[in-house]
Amino acid sequence: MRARNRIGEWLVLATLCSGLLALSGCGYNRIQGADEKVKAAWAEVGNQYQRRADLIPNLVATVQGAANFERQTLEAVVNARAKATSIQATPELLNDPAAFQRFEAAQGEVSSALSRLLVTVERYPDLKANQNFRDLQAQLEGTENRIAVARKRYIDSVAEYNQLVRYFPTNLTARFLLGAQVRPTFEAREGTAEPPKVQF
Amino acid sequence: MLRAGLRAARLAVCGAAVALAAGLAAAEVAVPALTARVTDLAGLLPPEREQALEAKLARFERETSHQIAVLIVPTLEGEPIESFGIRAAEKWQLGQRGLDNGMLLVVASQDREARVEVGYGLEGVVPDVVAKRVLEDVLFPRFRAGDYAGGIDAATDALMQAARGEAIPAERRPSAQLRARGEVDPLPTVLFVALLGSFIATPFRRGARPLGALVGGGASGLIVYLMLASLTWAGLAALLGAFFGAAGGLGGRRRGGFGFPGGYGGGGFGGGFGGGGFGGGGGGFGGGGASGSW
Repeated sequence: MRARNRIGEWLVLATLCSGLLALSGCGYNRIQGADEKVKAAWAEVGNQYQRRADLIPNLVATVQGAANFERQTLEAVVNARAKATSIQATPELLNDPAAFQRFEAAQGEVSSALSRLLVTVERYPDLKANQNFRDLQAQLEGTENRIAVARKRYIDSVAEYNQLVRYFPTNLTARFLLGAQVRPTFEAREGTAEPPKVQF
Repeated sequence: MLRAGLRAARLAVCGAAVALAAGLAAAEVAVPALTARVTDLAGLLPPEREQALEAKLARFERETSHQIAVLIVPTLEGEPIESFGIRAAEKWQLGQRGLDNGMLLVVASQDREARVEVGYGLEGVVPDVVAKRVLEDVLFPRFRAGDYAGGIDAATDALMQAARGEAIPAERRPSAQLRARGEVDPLPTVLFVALLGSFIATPFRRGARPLGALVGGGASGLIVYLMLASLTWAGLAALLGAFFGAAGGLGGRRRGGFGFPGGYGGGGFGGGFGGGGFGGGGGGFGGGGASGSW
């Protein structure tokens, strides 16, 4: 009688233990949590790029005020901005590596058009001394830095998430229970660790 | 122009250095531990000025709950100050959790560079333009004249004045805020669950004491893991549960049974409140602020 009770007790115990192991081992909650972090980090990347896009019209207007500023350089910025803002940083973009690449390429074009513009400004001393322009420049530098920080945090969050999705045993949960895919990330290109610094 | 050219060349070198550092992760200047509001590793400030600055920033924090700190290093060894600044801000976590009302003034004296990092919560009253002006119009003129202590004193004054625009209502100050946050404080939860686990274990304990321990520990660990999703706390709960499960819970029938002395006070939180050392309150930074060189 006593022995049978013992067996029953051990069964309950084994169930409890295996339940705990299964919950901690399969990584269901961890994958979900990491996914939320990736999405939040991605939203922040989108916010900061949007912030930059919002600054550009002001910048263009201020630069245009300078006598015969090179039209070509300005147009490149305006066009790159238009192209970049046509691709929204939605969460769905994370499921589509090709669209993600297009977003990244479009934002990269804005970055390079902007840095060309700021290099050109070097030849306009009046504009450089203009307080309004200097303020815009400070905002732009700050925004580029926020973009760099947001990108780095996104890269870190995706690294954590992708590791869960790829490694055993959490990859089983990811594939069969959640249908989770590896998320696209930014190439760690040169200068990612720092904002494209604008110097005059 | 020449300076800009030199800078471009240096940035190119930096780029390579950063790429290398990413692989080695050893070339970076380490962010020191946060022990005071003013950390002067370059010996730029006379001790009495440093103490005065420390006292001023502490007073400001008591008045407004905003945390401002100053970090002076001799050199960043080529790392961009933006990158070092955000590393320091992330490590120190100035500002109160949830309010993110911290600011950090970083100075690299030999590199002749400085940066203001502004926490999320102060970006409204200290936008990048204001941070830039504090550097360009307040800090750098004094630095160029060799008045480092005066520059940092004036710059922190300017930052404090700007930050006063962000008034934190009394009920949102940290002491009130922690109560209101409604988060589960892990330690009381763990204790409570471990006791609960020992009750679950009672019938098993009659069979054998180790079995009581196992069931008490297992149940407590499982419940805490489900509640807090933290293996560390779950492990602690499992240990306590096992102990109570074997010993017979609170005020057990067995001889040597024990009760808990009194109630349990809320867990302590980091934050620069109360005397003694200084610590960040858990504020977040997102790269806001400005940098420049003198």
